[in-house]
Formats: sequence, C-alpha cells, structure tokens
Amino acid sequence: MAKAKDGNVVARHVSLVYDPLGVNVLAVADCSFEIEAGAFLAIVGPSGCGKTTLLNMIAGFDTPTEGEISVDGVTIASPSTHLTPGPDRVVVFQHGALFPWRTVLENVCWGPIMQGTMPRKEAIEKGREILKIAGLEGCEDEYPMNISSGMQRRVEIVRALVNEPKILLLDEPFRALDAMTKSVMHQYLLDLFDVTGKTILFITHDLDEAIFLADKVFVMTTRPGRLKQMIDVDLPRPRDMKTKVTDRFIELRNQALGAVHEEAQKAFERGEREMAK
Amino acid sequence: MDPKESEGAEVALETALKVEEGKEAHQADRARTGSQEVDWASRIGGYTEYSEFQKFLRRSVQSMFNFSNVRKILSLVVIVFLWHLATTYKIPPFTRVPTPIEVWRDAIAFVPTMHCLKCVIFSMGRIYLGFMVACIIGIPLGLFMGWNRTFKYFTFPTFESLRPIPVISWIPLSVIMFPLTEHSIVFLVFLGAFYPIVLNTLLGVESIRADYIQGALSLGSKPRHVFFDIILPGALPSIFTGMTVGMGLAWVMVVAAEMVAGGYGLGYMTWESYILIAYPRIILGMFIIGACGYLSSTVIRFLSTKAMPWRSLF
Repeated sequence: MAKAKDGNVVARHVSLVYDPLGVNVLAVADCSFEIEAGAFLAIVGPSGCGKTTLLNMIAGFDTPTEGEISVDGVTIASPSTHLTPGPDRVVVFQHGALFPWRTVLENVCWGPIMQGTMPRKEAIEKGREILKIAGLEGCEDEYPMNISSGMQRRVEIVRALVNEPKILLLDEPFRALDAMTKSVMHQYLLDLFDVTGKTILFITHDLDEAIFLADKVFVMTTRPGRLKQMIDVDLPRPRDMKTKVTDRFIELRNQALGAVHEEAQKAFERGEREMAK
Repeated sequence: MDPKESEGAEVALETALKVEEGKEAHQADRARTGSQEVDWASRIGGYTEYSEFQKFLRRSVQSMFNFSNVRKILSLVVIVFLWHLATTYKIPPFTRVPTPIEVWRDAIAFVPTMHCLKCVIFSMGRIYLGFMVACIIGIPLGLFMGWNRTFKYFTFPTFESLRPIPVISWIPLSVIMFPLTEHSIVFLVFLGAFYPIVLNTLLGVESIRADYIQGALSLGSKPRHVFFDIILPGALPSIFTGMTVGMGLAWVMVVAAEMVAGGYGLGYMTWESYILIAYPRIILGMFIIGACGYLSSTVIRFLSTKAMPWRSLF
C-alpha cells in the first residue's frame, strides 16, 4: 500500500457568506479540520448544509469570506487569494461532468493535454493504458452518453486520477446510481484508494457510505454548516461488503446516527429537502 | 511467432491483396470507359459528401412519408382529396382556387423550364448569402454575449429592443437603404435569420452546466480552452436550433421581399402569377417554396449530425 507523501489539507476557521441578492446567507461557519496525507475523509450532512460549498472552496471555485485552507502548507484559499482551480485538486461532480462531446478516451486524456504536461500522442497512449488498468477497455471510443452510469462514474474518477492530483474531491459521486451499482462502485473506490493512496475528500448524505469508505467522518450541522461530530473509523482495511455487518461498523453507525438524524430533522423542519437518513 | 499472430498477419495480407485487386479493377474499369467524368467526380472533393447527403435526405423524407405504412400518408391523401372536392364543387372560399389536377398539369409544364430553375437559383442564392452572413455575425455574437457578462450588458439591451420589431416591417427601410434590390433582399434575409440565431446561441451558452466549466478548469484548462472546448460544443445543439428557426424566417423574408421588391425569385414568381391570373402557378410556387425550405432545413440537420456526432438525431 503506497501512501502518498503529499496531499495534506488543513482548513482553519473557514466561513463563507453568500450574498447573491443582498441577503447575507451564512453557508459555512467556522469549519476547521485536517486531512492527513493519504487519508480518506468523508463529510456527512443534510442537504443544503454547505458540504458542496466547502468542497468548492478547496477546489478553488469559491473564495472563503474568513479563514484559510492550505494544501501541503501552501495557502490555496483565503479571502485575499485568487481563485486557483487546478489539476492538483480534481473534482468529481455529483451529476457527472464528463464532456458529452468527447469520447471516453478524449475525456480521460483531457487533463494532461490541456496542461501540456505531455505530448498529445503520449497522453493518448497513457489514457488507453489507464483505461485498461481500470477495466474500461473497449469503450474508449464511445461517447459518455452511450455507456452505463456506473461506467460513466468510473471514467470520471479515472479522468481525475490521470492528472495525479494531490487530493481527489468527490462530491456525492454515487448519488444518481442505483443501490446495486452503488455497492459495486464503493468496492471499486476502496480498491482504488488502497492502490493509489491518494488523499480523498468524499461528500455524501449517506452515513453508511461514509463509514464504510472513510478513515474519518465529519458530521456537519444544517445551515450554517458547522462541524458537529468527528468519528474516527478504525475499521481495518482492505474492507469489503462483509465489513458492513461487523459489530464495529454497526457500533460506529449507531454513534453517529443520532447526530445525523437530529440535523436532518432540523433541516426538514426548516423546509429543506430531507436527504440524510 | 505464435499461431494466433501469424493467422492475424495472414488475414491482414489477404485483405491488403483484396484492396489492391479492387484498386486494379477500378483502374482497369476507368481505362476501359476512358471517361473524364469519373476523374472529375473524384477531383471535386465533395463527391462523397454529396452522396452521403443524398442518403440523409432520402432517409429524412422516408421517415416523414413512409409509404410502406399507409397510416403515415393517409392524412396527406385525405387533404388532397378534400382539396379536390372543394375546388371541383366550388365550395367557398375555394371558388377560384385551382384543382389539384390543374396544379399538377402546370407543374409538369413549368418545373422543367429554365425559368423555374432561375427562380429557384435566385431565391436560394439570396438565402445562402443572407443566412451565411447571419451565421458569421450571429453565432460569435451570441457566444460572446453568453461568455462575457460585460459584453452582454453592452449589447443585449439594444438587441432586445430591436428584436420585437417584425422583420417584415424593415422592408421599406431596407429598400431605401440599399440602392440595389439584390442587396436589400439579402439584408432582409440576414435580418430574419439573425435574431433567432443570436438568441438561441446565447441561450445555449447560458444553459451549459457550470459543472462542465468548473470541471474543465479543475482539469487544468485555460479560459481560452474553455471557450473553444466547452462553450462552443456545449452551445452547438442550441446553435443548430437557432439555425433551423432562422432558416424558416429567412424563407419568410426572401418570399416577402421578392414580392415587394421584385426581380426573379420564387416569391416574385408567385406574386407575378397572381397578377397574370395564372392561378395554378400560385399554388405551384407555394409548393416549390415549401420544397426548397424543406431542403434547406434538411441541409442544416445534416450539418448538425456531422458537427455533433455525439448526438444521434435519427
């Protein structure tokens, strides 16, 4: 298991105020956390609690109003820094953002070609190779629309990993999948994590998913999003489907269930869509 | 070399030989007929494109009038029959309308003439010119309006305040503006196609999901790459919708302008037939205009399948 040396993310007192219509909405309030290099962190919270906003700040799509976020000691987001989205922090989006006008192979090669890190030909070769390793051989020249949704998600994760990011940001990537595909994808992601040792930030509203996958689970409160509870998941790796029925898994789940449910209830009462279990 | 590989090599060799044979046979064929035409056809690069378009056109017409399925053409037969009844028995308001048979006879007499061809070529030429200019100016304008907010604030109010003016009402002004009839007709065609193209392009850019742009930035794209690799392909479906609508309006404008300004063309021909009391030709003119309009929108649909292979329209 090769653990990456870099990819250490530190967030200090991060807050974000949205001001789209002159009404100040506090989306994220005073969030501090650290993801150690090569760790898997999951953030769980009800819909609309600011999980995605938090991820957007790390990705460089949003500027925090207060606080700062740094990766390997370099500040990447603070009220005074410019937005710097880049291939060191690649995002996999909840609705999928494979470019429909590009074939699977072109999508996968997109990053290296755009950054100019390697010649086009070499990038294509590498793309083919990686698709082969990822078990996606044979669909290189298909358009994303013509492959199954599970495969689309895999291609998108591969497209992110090709860039060798320091940290992989997954924004509810399996949300739209059916339960069966989802469980297969969980296993796929776990294997990938064990092999690559990348730092992963995984956002979800599904507590089981979070505990099953992550080293640490942060439970977020309803808006404004604060950190409510931190759970250290000490389930041994490699994990598989059987992990989900172990006593320790159920124990951890029970620990967090109350907190998650409480926040979901609050969000529900506030008229938010109910998402968390 | 393992057996599988050598087998593959053999197959490849065979194929290569076959291809060679085919080439030879083709050359021999050419030598035998000794015809210049074959050479010309292959030399005008567009030959294969053209035949592909022919296939496309045939498929598109067939999908509309599927003769193997009677239900699909039944309504058409019924309409022609009703038209026949109404005109034969002179039911108002069809008292002076020619019967289908009269129109058919006129078609046989008129369509193969040089005059008809000239009318079609004139109208088509005006459409082509005006429409091209509308695309060349309209598509980039729409793209920039969607891409850059400042540019949109700068241009959109003017655009939106001119747009409600029906394009037909520009006819007198354009006749004053341009000394040549030809120019004013082309200008009107341009104007007709321009608005829907710009508006749809703009809507297309604005409807691109932010995920695609953020995703591209996250993968290390620079803004100019985002414009050509995300904004342009993302807006293409809407651009083609705008072009289809624009083509419809271009035909409206060319017919209207020709009726007023004159000088050849299908609109002029149709109006002239009214003045000359050649009533069957009015309806014939309408049909020819319809057919030309259908042909031009098929061209656009064909281009859209070529430009967007990821979307299957059929």
